[in-house]
Amino acid sequence: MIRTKAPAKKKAAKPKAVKKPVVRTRKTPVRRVSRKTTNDQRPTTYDLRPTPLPVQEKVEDTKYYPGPVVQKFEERHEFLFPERYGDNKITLMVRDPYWLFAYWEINEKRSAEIVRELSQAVFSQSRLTLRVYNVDNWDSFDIEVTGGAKNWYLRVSSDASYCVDIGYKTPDGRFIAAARSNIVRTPLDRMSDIIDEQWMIPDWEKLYLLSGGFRVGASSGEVKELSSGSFVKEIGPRPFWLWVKTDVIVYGATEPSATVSVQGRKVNLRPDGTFSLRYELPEGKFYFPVEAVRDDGRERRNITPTVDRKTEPACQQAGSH
Amino acid sequence: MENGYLSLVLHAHLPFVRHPEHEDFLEEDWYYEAITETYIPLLIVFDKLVRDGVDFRITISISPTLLAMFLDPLLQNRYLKHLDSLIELSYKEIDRTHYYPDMHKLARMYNQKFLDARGLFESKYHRNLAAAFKHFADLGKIELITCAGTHCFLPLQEMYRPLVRAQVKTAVALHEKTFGRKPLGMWLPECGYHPGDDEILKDAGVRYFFVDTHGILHGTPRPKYGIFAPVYCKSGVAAFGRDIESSKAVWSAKEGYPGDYNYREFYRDIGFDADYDYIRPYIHVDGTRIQTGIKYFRITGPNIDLSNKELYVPEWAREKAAEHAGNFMFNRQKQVEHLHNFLGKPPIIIAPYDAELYGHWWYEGPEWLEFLCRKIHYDQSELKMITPGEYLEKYPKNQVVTPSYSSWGWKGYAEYWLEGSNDWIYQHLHKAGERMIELANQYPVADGLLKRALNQAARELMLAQSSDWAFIMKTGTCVPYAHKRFKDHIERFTRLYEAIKANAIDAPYLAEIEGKDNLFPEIDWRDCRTN
Repeated sequence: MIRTKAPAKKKAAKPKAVKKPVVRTRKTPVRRVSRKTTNDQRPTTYDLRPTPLPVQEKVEDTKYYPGPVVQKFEERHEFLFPERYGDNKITLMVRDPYWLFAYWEINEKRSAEIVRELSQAVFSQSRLTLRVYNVDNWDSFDIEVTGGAKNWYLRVSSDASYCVDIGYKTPDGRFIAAARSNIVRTPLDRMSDIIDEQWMIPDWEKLYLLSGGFRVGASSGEVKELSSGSFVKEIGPRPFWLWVKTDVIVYGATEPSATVSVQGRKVNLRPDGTFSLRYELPEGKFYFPVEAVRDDGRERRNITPTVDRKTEPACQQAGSH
Repeated sequence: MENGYLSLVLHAHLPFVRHPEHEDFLEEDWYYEAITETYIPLLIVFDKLVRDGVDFRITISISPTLLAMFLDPLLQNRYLKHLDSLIELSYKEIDRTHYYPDMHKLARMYNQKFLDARGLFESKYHRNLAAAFKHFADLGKIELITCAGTHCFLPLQEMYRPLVRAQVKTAVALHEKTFGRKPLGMWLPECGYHPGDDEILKDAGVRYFFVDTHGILHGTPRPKYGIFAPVYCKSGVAAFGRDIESSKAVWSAKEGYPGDYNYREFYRDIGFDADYDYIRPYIHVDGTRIQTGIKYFRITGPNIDLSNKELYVPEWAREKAAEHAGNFMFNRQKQVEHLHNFLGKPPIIIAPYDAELYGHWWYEGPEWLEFLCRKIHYDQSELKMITPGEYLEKYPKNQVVTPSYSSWGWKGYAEYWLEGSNDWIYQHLHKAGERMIELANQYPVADGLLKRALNQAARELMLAQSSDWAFIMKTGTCVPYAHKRFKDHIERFTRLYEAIKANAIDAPYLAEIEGKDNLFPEIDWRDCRTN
């Protein structure tokens, strides 16, 4: 894929203003944590991958793959994550060049102060609001927090610094902050415009392409439709299927000190003198000569069971109606 | 004269999974499988290469949690037990498959491999895999580097710098104690880098780390040589960028080698196929069918149902591995030739992979690696294997660039570890972190019970910080276990914190969790101090 225009130029042409916020509501997470997991037992089938993962993550995930059944845990109940720590703070984290994540807690002391400052009547009409500042130019935008959320994902711009106030917005538009976050910076989502004076760059565009640029994250996440059967099991109706195999178990017992061979090969006896051998059988007739020899070599016994395995044609099956 | 360099980097990591409280613990199998299928096969490859005089270079990061498991006597004994049971099963398989010659041959192959693994583990390396890797490092064939203490995804702890420092310093100390020298480099967990982390690496004596392609390309100022030469952060620590082409060859399902139809199928295992009564002694103690590692089928073709897979033919797979190694080398030769002309200096190609990809997921991976090393050594002279440490020694002059915040995860940043399924953990993780910093500031000096409690609190915090829990919550595999682990460590930390604050440390409780979470004996709680 070759682009004719450098993305840096394209991006640079855009005004640097903060984009209109797009928000996602988040439910309070506590329920997810305390959910019981003891009954989480899935049926034994091969189609257990809930969603296809990006291939690199998929491979990494196989390290943790025990098999198609999830183990049961005895969940203990003495420890539950607290819903609140009594802190008054908001924490801001960078997810990628375009998204921040904020979580917060407003404690009772700070709430009471705000109620006093606004009066109960005004406070009860105020809305919990996030004010997102671009610290580089102190532009800001507001997001009204809904649904009792305790955290939020914020749409922002790449290569800029942000901090967020959590507070209350009154009906007449006043904003009272309860807490201010740490300052974070989103990464640059393109090559830098800054060219080191000490260096000449012969043909950056080409170098960028050679380095695999223009496709961030592509290295690991590119392959969504995976071709190999081992990488992905498509979710969908599983075709009806059946397989049948035949194992035969040859087992017996003798004096623990005796020597036993089956088909001429020596067999290890268990301490009680029993032995057991198992064979997967194809079609045909099979002989299993068993010989036991007393430890002093003076007596022997021979028994030879035979097994005839034959699969009948389907049409001869009875009672099919 | 070489046109350029290839630096293969294998990142070996498993979270700390050790449950002395249970005789048979499902998740410990992650570790046992990785030993049998990845770590031992890699050591066998290195051994063969050394024996045959093949000069090769591979960089291996061994995460501190994995290293702690290598060194743990309980897990060493349990692995032997696990392996013995597998050997017993493989003998039964030899009998059971008697009338199917092709499958019988495979049963014999597994039996031999397990016996070899046992001989190596028990007799040759005296159960200590760390010593085994050190052996090849001392020969100068592999460069051992470290990784953050418990594989914490560092960018999401950015607001707590002392905790990032504790992750780094703990890792470097364990590495130095085990291998007898400081690690030159560090694999940042998931390649998660935040500008400024390099300062912490520098203080710990680490000279280089890796970032994903865009971490370098989007660095400031523009890197002159792209990802084909390292850059120096302002701190003087070097950053090497991942090469996409060589990555794709192995990782990509569409173009990647491991998806070849001749290679062994990962998901079809006799643990699920065999008759229940027969396989019962070799699966989980509670009767849950699990993987055994004995797998008789090949990938076979696209979209083949698992029940329709065809039998694995080791000779075909081996031939493919050789062919793929040749293809990989050819492509790298062309790549460095082209780049050399373009850059005017020999490029370095950084090809990093999860170590467990080799052998565990891609069964033929270690063979591929062996073929690749042999071919590079014998068949050509344009491409040379190098470690980042050697490269920096040879080419100390590099451009100064601050890499951008990035990771090698899906979409290139932090989304895999910060999204709907796992974002709830950070409130608790950060709170525990704040409390740890508070303790470290409050107690600059301690001994006896208090010192033990402070160090154990630091261990519990670090275990909670493992990126694996958030990763598993997102992928959906073994989610209850990830929840359990995160909760256990936060709980243990919180109880210790409260006990220390109340000056009421419960000695039996402390001893109990010291016995369970016994990693990092040299941990120093003071690393969590502010400043």
